[in-house]
Amino acid sequence: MSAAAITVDVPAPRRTRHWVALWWALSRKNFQVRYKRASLGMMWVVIQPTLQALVVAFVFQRVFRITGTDRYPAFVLAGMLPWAYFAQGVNAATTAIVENSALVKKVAVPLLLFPLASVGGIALTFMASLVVMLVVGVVNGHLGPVYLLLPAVVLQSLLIGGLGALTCSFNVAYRDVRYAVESALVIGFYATPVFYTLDRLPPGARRLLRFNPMDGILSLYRAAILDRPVDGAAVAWSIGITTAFLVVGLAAFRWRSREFADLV
Amino acid sequence: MSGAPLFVARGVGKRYTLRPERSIVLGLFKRERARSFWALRHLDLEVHPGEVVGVIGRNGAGKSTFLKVAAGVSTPNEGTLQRPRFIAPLIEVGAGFHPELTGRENVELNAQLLGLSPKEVRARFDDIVEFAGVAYAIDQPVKQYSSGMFMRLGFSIAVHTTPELLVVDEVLAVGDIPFQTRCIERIEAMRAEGVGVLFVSHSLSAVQRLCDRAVLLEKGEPVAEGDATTVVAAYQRRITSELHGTPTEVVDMGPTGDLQLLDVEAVNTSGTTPEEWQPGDLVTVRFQFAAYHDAPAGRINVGIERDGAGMVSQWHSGALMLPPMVAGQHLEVTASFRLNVAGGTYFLTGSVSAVDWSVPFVSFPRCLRFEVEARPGAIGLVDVEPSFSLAEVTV
Repeated sequence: MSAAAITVDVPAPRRTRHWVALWWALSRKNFQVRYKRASLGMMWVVIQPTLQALVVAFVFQRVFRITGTDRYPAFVLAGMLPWAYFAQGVNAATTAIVENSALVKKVAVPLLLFPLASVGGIALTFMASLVVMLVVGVVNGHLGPVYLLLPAVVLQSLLIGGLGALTCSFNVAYRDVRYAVESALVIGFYATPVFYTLDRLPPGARRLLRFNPMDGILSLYRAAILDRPVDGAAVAWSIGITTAFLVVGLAAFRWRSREFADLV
Repeated sequence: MSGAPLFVARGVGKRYTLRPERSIVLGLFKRERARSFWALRHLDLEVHPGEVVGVIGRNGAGKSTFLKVAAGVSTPNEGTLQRPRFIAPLIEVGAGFHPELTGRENVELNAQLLGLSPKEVRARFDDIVEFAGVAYAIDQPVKQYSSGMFMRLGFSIAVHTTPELLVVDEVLAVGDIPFQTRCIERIEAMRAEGVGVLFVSHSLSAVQRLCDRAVLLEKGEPVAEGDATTVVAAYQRRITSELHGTPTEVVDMGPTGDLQLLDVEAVNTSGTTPEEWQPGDLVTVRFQFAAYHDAPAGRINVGIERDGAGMVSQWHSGALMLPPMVAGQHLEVTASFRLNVAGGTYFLTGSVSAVDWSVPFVSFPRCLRFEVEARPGAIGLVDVEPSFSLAEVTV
């Protein structure tokens, strides 16, 4: 056999608008399906991290008597809700191709739509969290520049998309990636200033946390909700690392996606 | 076939690598030498507008691999492929549908997955639901649907996406008879509109009825290609030649046009099984038919084919005709004949045609295999029921 001559006449790509519409439809489906059978519906997406935030705030403030952070419960909540978006988004994106295997094997659509729509579904539920955070900010009376929520959500969504594309592309061939990701996210939770501030850390650890892109993102949320100062350096690091994840994640996805239909 | 083909495959091959179950640790650090095999190779196939091309072959022959390659979800390892822009695959039952979502939500999502814009979905929504006949349940979650409703909805979406190429998988095999009929009618209608159809099925009679051409795959390679009837016959020869030890085998029980052969059974006068018949036995064959569609009157033809020597004898029912049948009706036809053939392997062949012989309704070539024991001392093709007698003649 001569050297494998492969030419595949790929049909002209449909207009981007079509893929955006399909992404939106898939995102809505993922959103609807998630809490369809629960009687409180999507309220759970808020109830769960809110309870967790209250418990954490209680434990650290009342039990361990940690002081020094003003409005501590709101501070924890403004870290916990975005963190939940991050963790759920990355987990959902990781398994997206495997979970949609029936479609992956049959329908020729850009496969990146599946992880991105998984993130989209989680992002829709996160909208409820944003409302809760705003309410808490108003109740506290320390609402900051609320417009900062927009870059925060955009930057965080891009980060989840890039990281999710990366983990998703490896989870197809190596199915234990999803468990590794879940474990890494547990560690990530403690390596992110969700319930502490960076100045409580020794300088070495603080330098290490510079590489955590969620650090800068949380500082944006807290600036908006609690009127805390934006940590400009951390945000710059977030943008840099998010860009790196996007580039690497999309490249990996492109590279691996050729064999997805054969592996799922 | 005139005009440019919709779909062209030239020398297409797909190689799979067999790897042991991989975990990330083993996969990254212990590179095992992977074995690979060609699931599909050297495939040349064209589908022109308005043409229905069948793909047949036993399990593992490469049909599913070919479908994936044709649908554009799997990249071939060699060869060239030219595909149209709008391909509608029939999404497997349960695959594209989410059980918790309503019929309406699932239709909207699936139609978009198959390439319609939200606007187009809205415009065609009523047609899709009406064809599927699930209007009364469209706002219920599909987990409450029967499997038939599920399937009808899936098929309906695929055929309403105005594809250039429709890829029909095994779906027809699972539906009830009225549903199959509607699917086949719909496929015929789309063919008339110039849609190309790739039809993958185990139902040989459906392939014979629907397809203009067919390709037979075996171990990933095409072994026969051309006119559907010829290719189906080639496939049946391959199967029957492997059926030693199972002398009676209804090769194809799949749905056909208006009539379906449900069962065929044969006994001789002494009630022995078809592997030990004797020349000269009186054989009675019972064909059981079902009409899954109102069927006009027809005539039945029966033939005996000798393995490797072609048709030995063929006859029709003469004045006895199959009456017109209504959908769902069953009918049994009994044909008797004297087995005046010499020892060897034979096949029973049959068909039902229109009263004026213009159209064959259904044919069931080689539907039954039987062995005739050789008569001691006789060779040749026919059995003349010889006898000798001796008398002394006084001069």
